[in-house]
Amino acid sequence: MKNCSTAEQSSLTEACTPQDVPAAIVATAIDWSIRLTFNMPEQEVRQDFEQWLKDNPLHRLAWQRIQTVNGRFNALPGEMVLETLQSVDKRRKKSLSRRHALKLLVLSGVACAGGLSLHRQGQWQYLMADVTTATGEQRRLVLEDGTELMLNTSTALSTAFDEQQRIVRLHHGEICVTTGADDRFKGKRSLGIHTPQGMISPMGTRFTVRIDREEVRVAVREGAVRLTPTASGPAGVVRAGACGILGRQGVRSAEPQPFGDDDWVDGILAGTSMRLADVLKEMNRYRRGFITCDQRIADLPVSGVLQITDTDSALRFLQHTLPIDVLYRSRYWVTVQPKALI
Amino acid sequence: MLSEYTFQQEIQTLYLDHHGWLNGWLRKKLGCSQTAADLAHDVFVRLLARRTVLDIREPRAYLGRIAQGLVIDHWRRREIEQAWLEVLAQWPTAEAPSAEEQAQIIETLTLIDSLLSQLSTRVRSTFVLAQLEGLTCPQIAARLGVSRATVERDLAKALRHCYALCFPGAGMS
Repeated sequence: MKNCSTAEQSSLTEACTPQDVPAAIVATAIDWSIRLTFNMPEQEVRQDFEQWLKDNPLHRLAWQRIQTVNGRFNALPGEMVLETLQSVDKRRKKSLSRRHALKLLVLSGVACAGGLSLHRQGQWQYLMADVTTATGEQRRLVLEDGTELMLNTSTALSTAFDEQQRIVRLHHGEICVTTGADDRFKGKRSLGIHTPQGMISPMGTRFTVRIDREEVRVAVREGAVRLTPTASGPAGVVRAGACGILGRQGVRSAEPQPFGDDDWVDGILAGTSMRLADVLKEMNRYRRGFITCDQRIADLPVSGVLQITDTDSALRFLQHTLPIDVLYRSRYWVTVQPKALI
Repeated sequence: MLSEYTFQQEIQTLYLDHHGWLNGWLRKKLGCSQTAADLAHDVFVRLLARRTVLDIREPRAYLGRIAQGLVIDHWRRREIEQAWLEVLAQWPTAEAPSAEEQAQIIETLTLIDSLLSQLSTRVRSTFVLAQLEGLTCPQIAARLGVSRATVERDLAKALRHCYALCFPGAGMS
């Protein structure tokens, strides 16, 4: 006899008499979940997964349970939950008896919900908390020097300002920078956007910085920026209207994208004759889960304006205007394929 | 391993001999007889679920240890409820979840809370970034400055803990 122990436990438990699933199968189901839910899996991976699912009814049960576990967190209002955990953490820190406090929320810099707050550290030094956006979220920040930062989907950055310099560290994602005059210091402090691949030094300007796997793409709208690679190699200057790449091999100029580099600041993706596959790949950045595109329709041209702030309606728009079917296999798994002939 | 019959006999003896004492002990700790009665009951339910009685030579110390754990859980939960209500009060009412959703959210917060207290800092960070911030493994790797393989291993560990908490006794050793 298995028992529903407390009210608390019974609601955590899917069934009061759970069927045993061997630990090895649970572990495999977890591995699949990591490959499919928390990574961008290849087509073959999903085919292998479907096969695994069919192989054994216990596989399906284990998978359903992992989905139940993940579903609990997906459905949460993320910001409110983080705020609550942080608040609990603060309280426990005050109380010495709570040794197992939730240190992580501070240590890992997940200060998302609290927004941006400045903490005084010494007379001149300001240390800013990390700022992040979730998938599909955008956020505008104005720093103390007047510099405006727009954060695109799933972006993380931190800033460190002192008497000599203003540093913005972009950990991942994409930002649009409009530099401020820094009046209080009469423009004496240098501004630098630091990325793993190198530093971007603006000279009174507006530009976007996007970390994309191993490379950083910098597109300049106004003014100019200097790119200094982390790896050896000469620095380069990118002027208004041009794009530069900071990569492992140093600095090089970039091909223009089919859509505007800073379209996203206005919440759109706009262009003429964009490849469908490229559009879907770009839209995928704004939603959890993945969108797959059948190779037979990958090259279909798309022209127009798509709302990246509402990717479901953008997908509906594509379905209306192109010979394609958009199939929702789950909320997190969308397949786009040629329209079926009835 | 005890047989099912002997096992239940053991629990019954423990209950008859010590339930009154345990109830009083909890009442003193909590200052609330209703909660004390609930938790005293829960101690025995926990024992039944464990299916083994480990140390019956010191029954009161043994029961007290389990009860102490439940008392801590109880306070943690109260803290979470309190913090949640305060956060909720700061948000526009239009965005407020329904009462039912809120109960679910508090359950999940309690789950995350107990889960996080069992994990190392790096695993906790990975878990939060993946589940609450919606980052992918490569993004987390870049963010935390570790390899993708490490992120995947950490995340698997956190998911195993989640599974064990959501499906207690359901096939995880």
